[in-house]
Amino acid sequence: MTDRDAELTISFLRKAGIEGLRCDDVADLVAKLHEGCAALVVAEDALGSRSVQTLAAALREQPSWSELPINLITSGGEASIRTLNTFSVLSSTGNLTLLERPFRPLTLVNSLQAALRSRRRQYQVRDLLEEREAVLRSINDAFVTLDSQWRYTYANEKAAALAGKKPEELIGLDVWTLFPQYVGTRYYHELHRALENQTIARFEVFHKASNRWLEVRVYPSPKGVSILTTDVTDQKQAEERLESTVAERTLKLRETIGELEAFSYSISHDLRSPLRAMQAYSEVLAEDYGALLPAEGQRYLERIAAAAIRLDKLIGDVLTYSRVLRAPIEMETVDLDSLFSSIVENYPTFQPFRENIELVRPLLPVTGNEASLTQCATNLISNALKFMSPGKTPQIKIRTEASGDKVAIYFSDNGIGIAAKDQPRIFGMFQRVHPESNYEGTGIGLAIVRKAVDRMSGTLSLESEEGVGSTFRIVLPRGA
Amino acid sequence: MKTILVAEDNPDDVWIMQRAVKASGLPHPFHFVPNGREAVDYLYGAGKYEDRTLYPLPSVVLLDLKMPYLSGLEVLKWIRQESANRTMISVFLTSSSDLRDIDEAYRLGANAYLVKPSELGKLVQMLKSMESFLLEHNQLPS
Repeated sequence: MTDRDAELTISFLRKAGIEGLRCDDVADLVAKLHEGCAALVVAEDALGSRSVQTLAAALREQPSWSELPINLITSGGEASIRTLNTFSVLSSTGNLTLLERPFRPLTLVNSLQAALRSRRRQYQVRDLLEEREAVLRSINDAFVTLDSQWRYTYANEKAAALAGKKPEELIGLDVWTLFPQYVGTRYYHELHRALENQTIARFEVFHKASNRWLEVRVYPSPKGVSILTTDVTDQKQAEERLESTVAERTLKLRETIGELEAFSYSISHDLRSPLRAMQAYSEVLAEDYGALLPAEGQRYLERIAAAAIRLDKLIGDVLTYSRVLRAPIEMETVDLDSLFSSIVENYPTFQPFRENIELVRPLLPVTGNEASLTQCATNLISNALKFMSPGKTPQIKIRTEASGDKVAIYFSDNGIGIAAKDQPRIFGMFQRVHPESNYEGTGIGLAIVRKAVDRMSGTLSLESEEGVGSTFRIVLPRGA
Repeated sequence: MKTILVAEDNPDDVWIMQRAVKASGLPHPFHFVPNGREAVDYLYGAGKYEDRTLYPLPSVVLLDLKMPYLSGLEVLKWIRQESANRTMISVFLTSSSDLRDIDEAYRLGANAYLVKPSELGKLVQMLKSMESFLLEHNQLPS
């Protein structure tokens, strides 16, 4: 186009709302194309045969979504050989429209508006493709689609990189020609099964070449399959690390449990033996030579015997605790009415207080373990009898209450109670909140109760007021 | 008079037992061996135990669990399988109240399992009731 023609055209287009840019020659045009262009207006007489080739080469490099509309303005009259040549070269690369001189300016505007509409649709496709690329890139997964003949119809960069190619190089290639080593493998069979049965396949494979674990998901459609491949090596390694850590810790824990069992066994056998000797010798000493000792000496001897008895009880409680810890627990329906009656009737230390222990019948049956419940009841009743203000008559009340599919068992007393500040720690091992001189005990009784309730998957709670009394509550599933 | 064999390695426990036997006034002779191996020797009649006038075959064996050379459980296993006296009344007298020990003892054929009481008076009571049940009321095998 001559300079003047170009200036006139641009100013006319601007009036129609189309922004134009003039190019000096084809080299300038190719450079400007890279910056972005919605449509091209070229005067045939501005193109030499070499510049047509240059333009065609630039057009062939367009991305797949792009088909740049070109308006080629010819001189009119009989088409020259050159015109035919230009037409055939450019029409093979793009969306070519011929405008023959002379034409009215409105014809050019009209033609360009159609070109811009087509270009806008191309931009929409471009945006969608970019969006898809971005999504696929962001998930860092390899994504390919294959047609029903196992040819690539799409591959994102990650997938192409795995094949050592660029995405566009893969399109149309047969996947099994590209990866013959996969033919007959699990990968091959899973893909075929997914396509044939139209069912989603999901499996893990080890990619030897890259030393990576891949998780493969195959989504079939009648047209082919989409394959999403995720690198799960890190996840896999983390899982393996976790597993080995768990295994290691379990082993250590088992060792510790083994040591603890050996320890509790040793307590039951080896520690008790010298203790028994102490008790027996002090007993015999008192028997044989007590008369020779002054009153103070006899008192010392009594203290030795009392301390030995206390230690014996302590060992007994530790053993009970460790038994509660590890004994297998079978859950069954327990008839509390008969269990608790027989405990109150037959337990030697409770017999003098039979009148003071009230069972509010009927006691509802619970799902629990009879031995564990016996342990709980004897410990709680013993405590209630023990922690009593001097001179006060113990009043112990045991009742049950249904709530949904659970039953709460209440053990209430009118004892000395437990201060709020002490309540959190009383279920711990060796915890005592009252001075030993006033109330004898090992500090293990409630720890045993808590552990027994834990083993039955029940809950244990306490309400207490100092000087008024305590209520322990055990909640278990209702019995059949 | 019926002999009772006691296998006990702890000298204190031996002394306590002897004291309790004396206190119980039981007429039966109690023989003590200090470990499992000697218990087997005694029952077998080996070595110095050959002389049955000095070391008469017992009516009851009292076994401690943990002993040098052979444990009480091993002695019991030998009695039940190898000895000429496989019906011998065998009773454990031990400080272990561990359920696994108790179960194992009965599994091997113990006739009773007693846990040593911590007070001398209770041990005397235990010896008396054992003697009354096993040697007085109970009918022993030939």
